[in-house]
Parts: sequence; structure tokens; C-alpha cells
Amino acid sequence: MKMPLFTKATAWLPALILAIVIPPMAGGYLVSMLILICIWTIMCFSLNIIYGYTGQLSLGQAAFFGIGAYAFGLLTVKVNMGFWPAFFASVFIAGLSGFLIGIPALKLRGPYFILVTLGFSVIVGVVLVAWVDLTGGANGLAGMPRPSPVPLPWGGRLTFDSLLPMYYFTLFFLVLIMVFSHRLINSLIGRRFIAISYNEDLTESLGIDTMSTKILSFTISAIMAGIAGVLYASYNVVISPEMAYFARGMDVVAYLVVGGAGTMAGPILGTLVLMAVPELLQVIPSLKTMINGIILMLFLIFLPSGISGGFKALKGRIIRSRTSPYAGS
Amino acid sequence: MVTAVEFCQYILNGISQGCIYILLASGLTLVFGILNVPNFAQGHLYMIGAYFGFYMVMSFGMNYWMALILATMALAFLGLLLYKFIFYPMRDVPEVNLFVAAMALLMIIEGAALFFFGTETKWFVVPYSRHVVTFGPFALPLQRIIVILGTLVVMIALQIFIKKTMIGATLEATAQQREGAMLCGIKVTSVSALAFMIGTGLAGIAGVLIGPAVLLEPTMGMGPLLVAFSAVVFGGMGSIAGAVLGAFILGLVESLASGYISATYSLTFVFGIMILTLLFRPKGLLGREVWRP
Amino acid sequence: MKCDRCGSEIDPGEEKEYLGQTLCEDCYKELEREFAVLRHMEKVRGEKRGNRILLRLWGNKGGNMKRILAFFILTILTTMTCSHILLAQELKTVKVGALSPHSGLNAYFGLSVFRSVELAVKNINEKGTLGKGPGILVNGRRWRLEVVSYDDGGDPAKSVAGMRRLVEMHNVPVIFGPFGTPATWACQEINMQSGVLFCGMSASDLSRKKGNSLYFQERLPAIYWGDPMAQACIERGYKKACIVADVNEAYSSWAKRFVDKLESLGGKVLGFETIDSKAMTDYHSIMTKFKAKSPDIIFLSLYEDPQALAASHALDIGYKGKFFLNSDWGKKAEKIVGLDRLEGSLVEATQWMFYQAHPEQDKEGFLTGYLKQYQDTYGYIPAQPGAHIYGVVYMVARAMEIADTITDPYAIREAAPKALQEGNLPLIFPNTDVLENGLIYGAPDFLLEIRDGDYKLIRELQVPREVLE
Repeated sequence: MKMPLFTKATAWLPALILAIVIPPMAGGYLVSMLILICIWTIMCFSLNIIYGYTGQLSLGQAAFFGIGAYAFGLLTVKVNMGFWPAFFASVFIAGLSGFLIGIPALKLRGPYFILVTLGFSVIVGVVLVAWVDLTGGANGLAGMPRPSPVPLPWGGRLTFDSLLPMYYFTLFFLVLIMVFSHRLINSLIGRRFIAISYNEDLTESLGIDTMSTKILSFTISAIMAGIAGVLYASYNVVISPEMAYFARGMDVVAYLVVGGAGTMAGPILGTLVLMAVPELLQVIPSLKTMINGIILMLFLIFLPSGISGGFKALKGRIIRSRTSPYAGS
Repeated sequence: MVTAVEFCQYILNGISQGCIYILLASGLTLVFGILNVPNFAQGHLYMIGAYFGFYMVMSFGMNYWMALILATMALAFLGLLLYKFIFYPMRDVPEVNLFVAAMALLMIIEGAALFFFGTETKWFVVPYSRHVVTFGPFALPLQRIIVILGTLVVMIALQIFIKKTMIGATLEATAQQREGAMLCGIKVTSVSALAFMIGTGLAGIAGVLIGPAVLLEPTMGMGPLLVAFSAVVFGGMGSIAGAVLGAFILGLVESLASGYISATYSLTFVFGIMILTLLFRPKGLLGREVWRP
Repeated sequence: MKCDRCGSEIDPGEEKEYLGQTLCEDCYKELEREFAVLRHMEKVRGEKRGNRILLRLWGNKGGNMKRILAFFILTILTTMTCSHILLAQELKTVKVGALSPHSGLNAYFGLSVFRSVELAVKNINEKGTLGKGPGILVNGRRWRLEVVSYDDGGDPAKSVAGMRRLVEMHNVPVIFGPFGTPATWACQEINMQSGVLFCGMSASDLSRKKGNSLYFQERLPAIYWGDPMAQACIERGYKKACIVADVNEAYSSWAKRFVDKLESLGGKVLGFETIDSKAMTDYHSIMTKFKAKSPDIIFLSLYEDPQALAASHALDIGYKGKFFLNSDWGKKAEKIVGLDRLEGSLVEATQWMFYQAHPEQDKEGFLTGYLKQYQDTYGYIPAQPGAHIYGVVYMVARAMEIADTITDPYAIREAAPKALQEGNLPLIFPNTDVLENGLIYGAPDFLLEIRDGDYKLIRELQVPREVLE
């Protein structure tokens, strides 16, 4: 009598097919929205690693996003590096900053850690605005290139100047990061992350070096945020310090909590819902923050495990009547 | 060249700015000590206080002092509602969720403020808005002097309340040892609610006091909130005296750093101090204990 | 009975029940152990009722029913929002875009810009561009204009996103805005590719040099006023100056030009601070630093709100010298600081402040009429950039008529100079031509001095055309 209705793979495949097939039929505006949704979903995955799975709430993801974007901007505009070398260099820089910040920051727990990441985010924001000679300050930085054209096997080239190829480019990275996250979480290292999120002291007592595990988790999430930053810089052609403000970091937390922290579908669902709502209400833009806040609050009170969690509870309720979850384990 | 006059003027500026941080930081640390929640929305509550005072005085023609008292009561009542409907139902969840809840609250308040108050900056004009008091080579606007005196009065009142009254004693007891207080028959829930109300009330007072001296706009609370947080950490979480000391020092640091080094980077110095405190002396100046999970 | 788990025989009376299954004692003991571990990890909680033990998943306060309900409501909401996006709206009239900050520290300017565009469109829809009938006349048909706006919050990245949205979702041929140099430069990166004509509200000299052929600029670069301002200071004996400039290129280059000219004429600059006025709310420290140097005059190269703040804070700490205010100065700032406290200060202004103080000098009455209509419609006095953009809307509408198109931005751009040269539009600022680089040219600036609570006109200022081309 055991028959699970979905395996994980069968749920994802149709979603992927839709993601590939629908955009060419949609208008340019929708595609640009989808690109942004992909980028912010990557940010959500970044937070998911350090918060969803390792249990440390970081408000600093926006800072790594900004570092990635600005590193890419400066390397391409001022140093004239090509797209791919700049891409890897920027992601490396973002990861390196994650590593360096993580070492002192992760010595702290709970609200202290949150505050340090917050402080880091604020400082990055201030520096980006104030160091005008380097970053252009509030004027922002402009002129970031799209990915270099790719020669196609059947002749001709694929350029990324228009929206649709750029969308597939971002989608590619999103899928890459999702697959990576999945493999990471199901590996031994991933289990260590989860153990730390349940009880750090207990994990330590089992002989696991929690400090280096946490630093690894933080660095990986910084790398992901950096990738999101580079993608954004390349897509939008213009960047400004506002993107690194911790307010963006708070948005990412909202998306993740609503979607469901610690799950694979959570980041996607949360970003989709909370970014689609402001579009619906574009007539009243000042209500966007309020609506997002209300939705977040409702979820926190009634459904803290997010949409994903709700789905799991639903599934559990259906299945539990037929089989014991502990039978045969 | 460093002149004494310039230096003293910076000190004066810093003191009046520091008073606002003192009020906010006291509220923050009180709530943190009893509820273990860093109330991230404190800055926006301060903003609501300022707008409340603004509308009372500018639209309804109320006397400024009346508006101050009314705003404090209104904010305290708002604090009660917030506690009852948000933080009390969530008292058993992991602490990080409370932080996210405070964040959500911040977003809701900011969105509502943007919608109802409008995005344009507003100027809170009171009869002595432009009055500047000069003593010798120094000058300070009258409003700022009101801020300093007001803060002094409020903090002394708070201290008397906590140390000399029975209810104040229950506050202190609950902050020190929650379970112990429960064993003594103290209704911890009511005490927590009271703490929250005092916290929001303080934010309201701060808002109305400083309102006439600054531009009112919906995000005006974020800057002071961040400095207040740094002050709480620097002074020691859970200790009101620490918060006062921390806020005072940071107010001076901000003013001096703006004047002598760079105004744009002043927030960096303040936050730098917070980060260094967290790394090297998490207890802060006067804190009692390091946070335990 | 058979055990459901291991299949072995159970003696009657010794069967254990677990979640609807019957188990033998050994299997049950195993599950008990598992249960203990799970309970320790706080995943499961148990309750004993009589002889039965009930297990529940931890954290199930309120039961699953509430969760499922919440989940369904949210699914429905999500589906609704997604389907709403996919249904596009069809256009019926000619849409024009308005891009400006509705929030943030420049909201006063941005909202004035947006509302002035709406006002101009309303007037054109009612009376036409030359007063001859509703809407604009293109291809023998009359068309209504409709404004679609986007709030970019003063953030250049959002301005770009807004421009894209206006073009891709609404197909606008022209966009009024964005406001500010950073936003303008950002939009100049993508407007050609998007094929949209736009009017960037930038006072920077670099904006016109980018070779963008779908660009208007409604203000002359501010940098050129630096020379006559320095001259005016020297004339009055104000030789020692301090300057606060916004980090924005237009304002900082303007300040530097002022510095160069002042020093070349024998003046001295004692302090120069570049700050981000959008984030700065406390000017006391800077003003304290300046006051210690005893300057004759402080030049505030900032937007309107920051000018008011900076001046107020300088006065707060007892500064007794003069100010040089720039053309962003307006009625709002004036009310906040008070003309009585600014005796002797100078203003580099457009006709905006002067004609408001002396409406009898406003011969055509366009400024006075606009102010009255704006105040009647929206209930407050607008910021100056609104008046600037008002004229641009008329110019573009007339250009559409001349070029006989509502979709070709290049043709509209080409017809724009002709629209101004005709000289029949109700322009607040009497501009007469559009230069090839997009600068809208013709109206002079005024040099004003504040005396006895009033603005006195010292002289008119103009920049020679060759310099700007």
C-alpha cells in the first residue's frame, strides 16, 4: 500500500520545462521580471545555505551581492577585463570576503551574529556610497557588459544583448546552484550543517569542528550571493549602492521564510510570491513593503515553516493514514 | 587646527544627538533584557511618535507638550497591542523567529507610513523652532536643549520607577532571572507587556522631542535605530545604565568623527565600535552575561 | 494476529497498537527506542491516555487544519497574482512615460515632476497644444495622451528598470524624466537600445556630451553659473568662502568651478565638503567646522531640502555670515529657514523664485497660471523641476503633431526644435530652441540678492550658445 504520489524528480521536471518553454511566448516585460526573480531566487538559495540549513541568520547577504556586483563592474569598466575572467574574479572576491568576515563573525551566536552581519552590511553600504573615487558613489556605475557572444555549432553566434538569451543564462545558473545545493545538503557536509542548526553544542561534542563547518557554509553562501550580484550587474548594465543596503538583505529573509527555509522549493516559492505581489499592486507601490511585511508576519505566526512546510504537512497528512513513517526505517 | 571652541561645539552637538540614542537604546535594552527580543522595529516606532506629534500639533493645533504626553501614551498603547498580538503568541518559538517578526513589523510600519503619511519630507514647526540660544561663542537651538532636558527628566523618572517602586522591582527581577521571578509569584506575562510598553513609549517620547529639529520622513528611524543598537551592544545588552552610557559615548563619537574625520563615514565608526565590541568583549561595558543559546 | 512490521505471530492480548498498525512486542520496543531519540531531538511528542500512547509531531500547536487552510488561501492568492501578470492590457490612447522618485529624499521634486506631467497632459487633452481643440492632431485623428508613471526612488538601477518597464510593457515613445544626474546617465546607457526618447533632468555638463540622439535636457549645465557667482561674491567683498556640495557630479563640478573662479579673482576657499545629501540629515558638524573658519559666505550646492537643512543647521550653531543658494532653492525651503534670517544672501536662480515674489513681472502669466492650477489641484506649491518638465511635455506633444507620428521617437526628436521655434507654446520658461545634443535652450537665469525679506534682481545670466554646442 505504499505509493508516494510524487518523487522529488517528477515534481521538478515539469517546472523546469515550463520555465524553459513559457518565456518565449511572453512579452519582454515579463521576461525581465523573470530574470530578476531568478536572480533573487539565487540570493534566497544563498541565505538558505547559511540560515535554512546551518541555522545562522545572516543579514549580510546583500553586502556580498553588492561586492560581487561592484567587483564585476569595476573590473569590466575600469580595468577592461573580459566577461568571464571578471565573472570568476568577482565571485572569488565575494567568496573571499565571506570567508574573512565569517572567521570572526561566526564565533558569535544568535542575535549577536545577526547584529554583526547587519553591521557589516551597513558598512559596505556606506563605503560604496562614500568612496566616490572608487565606486562612483551614489551616481552608480554603468556600462557592465553582457556575457560574451557564444558561437553556435550550426553557425552564427548567440548574443546576450536581448532579454531572452539573458533569461536562459540566468536560469542556467539558477539550476546549477539548485543542483549544487541539493547535492551539498545530501552529502556528509550538508548533514553537518543540519546538525549544527539543531544543536551546535551537541554537534561539537560529537567531535565535529563546528567552526570550520560554519565558515564553509558562510563562504559558500557568499559565493552564491556574489554570483547573483554579477548576474544582476550584467543584466541591468547599471548598478548603484542601494542594492547592497541591508534592506535588500531583509527582503531576502522575507522571501525565504515565506517560501520555507531549509527546503529546496522554499526559495523559489517565496521569491515568486513576494515578487509577484508588488507587480499586481504596481498601482500602489508604497503598499508593497507593507504587504510583504504582513504576509511575512502571517506566515511567522501561522505557518513558520513557509509554503514548502505547508506542502509537507499536507503531504504528511495524506500519507500518514496509510503508512507509518517509521515502519521499515 | 583644533580649537577649543570648535571642539566644545561638537561636544554640544553630540550630547543632544546622544540623548535621542539614549531614549531609543534604553527601550531596546529593556525589551531585550526581559523578552530576549532585539526589537528591530524600535526605530520605526520612534518615527510614528514623531509623525503623531506632527499631526497633533500641525493639523489639530494641539499644544506641543500635550502632544508629547499624548504621543507617549499612544505609543505605549501600541506597544501593548503589539505585545498581545505578536510577541506574546510567539513566546515559545525559536528566538530567531522573533527577530524576523520584528523585521516584518518594521516592514509593515514603514509601508503603512509611506502610504498614509506620504513620501515627501515634512517639517514639524513649533513656536520656538528657530530660536537659537547662544552662550558665549557656542550656540544650540532651543529645541535641542529641550531634547537634552527632556531626556534627563525621562531617564531620572525611569530610574526612580525601576529602583524605588514595587512594579519596577518586578521588572528588574524578571530581567535578572525569569524562572526565579515566576517562582516568586510575579506574573511574568504582565511584566513583559509592561516592559514592551515602556520601550515603545520611550521611542514615542524620542520622536516628539526631536521632531521639530529634523526632517520627518518615513525612513527617519533607521539611522538612529542602528546607532541605538550599537549603543546597546557597546553598553551591554540588558543593562539600562550600559545603554545610557553607550548611547552617550556613541553620540559624541559620531559628532566628533563627523567633524574631524568625515561626515559620510561617521556611521562606519559607530558600527565599527559595535563590531569590535562583539568580537572582543561581547559583554559590553556594563553587561551582565553573555547571551546563552 | 500477525505483526504488521515483521510478520511474526503475536499471542493474543500482547499485541501493541501503533498508528493504526498492530505490532509485536519486539518491534514495538524498537519503535519506542526510535521514539526516544526523536523525542530527544524534539521532533515528536507523546501522550498517554489510559493504556494507549498517542504520538504527535512536535510543534503542532493549533493542529494541521489551520495550516492547511492557510496554505490553500495562499495558493489561491499566488495563482491569482500569477494569472494577473500574464493577462496584458491593451492600449487605447497614446501613452507617455513619467519616471521620477516618488519616495526618498527627492520625493518632493519627483512628485512635482510626475504631477506636472499629469497637469500638462490634462491641459493638452482639454485644450490642445495651441489652444485649438482637444488632444493632439496626428495623421488626421485626434489622440488623447495618457501618463504611465514609475517610481524609481532616486536609484539609478531602478530608473533603468523603470525605463525598461515603461517601454516593454506600455510601449511609450517618450519618457519624461528621470530626475537627477545619476539616473539620467544610467538611462542613457539603455535608451537607444530600447528605442525611447527621454528628457533627463540633469544639470551636469557631461550629460549632453554622450552623443545620445534620443535625449533632451531641460536645464543648462549648472557648471557655467560658477563664474558669474564667483564674480558676484568678489563684487560684494565676500572673499572667504566655504562650500558644501552633493556627491552628484552636477553639483560637485559646479562647486569646483566656483572655487576655481573665486580663487582666480583673489578669493580664498577655506573649506570644501562633498557629501551624499540623500543620506545626510545632520549638518551641525560640518557647519561647526565651517563656522570655526569664519567665512564670509557658504555656498550650498545641494537639492532644495538639503539646502534648507544645511542653512538651518548653520544658523542653529550661530553662523552669522551669508549663504549662496542655488537654483534648487524654492518656496518650501524659504518657509523653513525664513527670509528674515538670510539677509544679504545671494541666490543663483531661474525666474522661478523671482516671479513668485513679483508676479507683476511675469508678463505672459504662464508661471503664475501654472502655480495656481497646481496648487488648486494638488493643494501645495510644487518644486521647481515640475515647472521645467511642464514645458517639455508641451514641446513633445507639439513635436508629435509636427512630425505626424506618435510612435517614432527619432521623428519626434527631430521635430522638437521646430516646436519651440514656432514660439506659440505656453512655456513657463521662455526657451526657444533645442540644440543638437538635446539641450533645451533660451531662458535666462537670474542673479538675486535677499534684502529686507525680498528677492532683488541684480542681473540676468545667460550662457552663449557656442559654449554649449
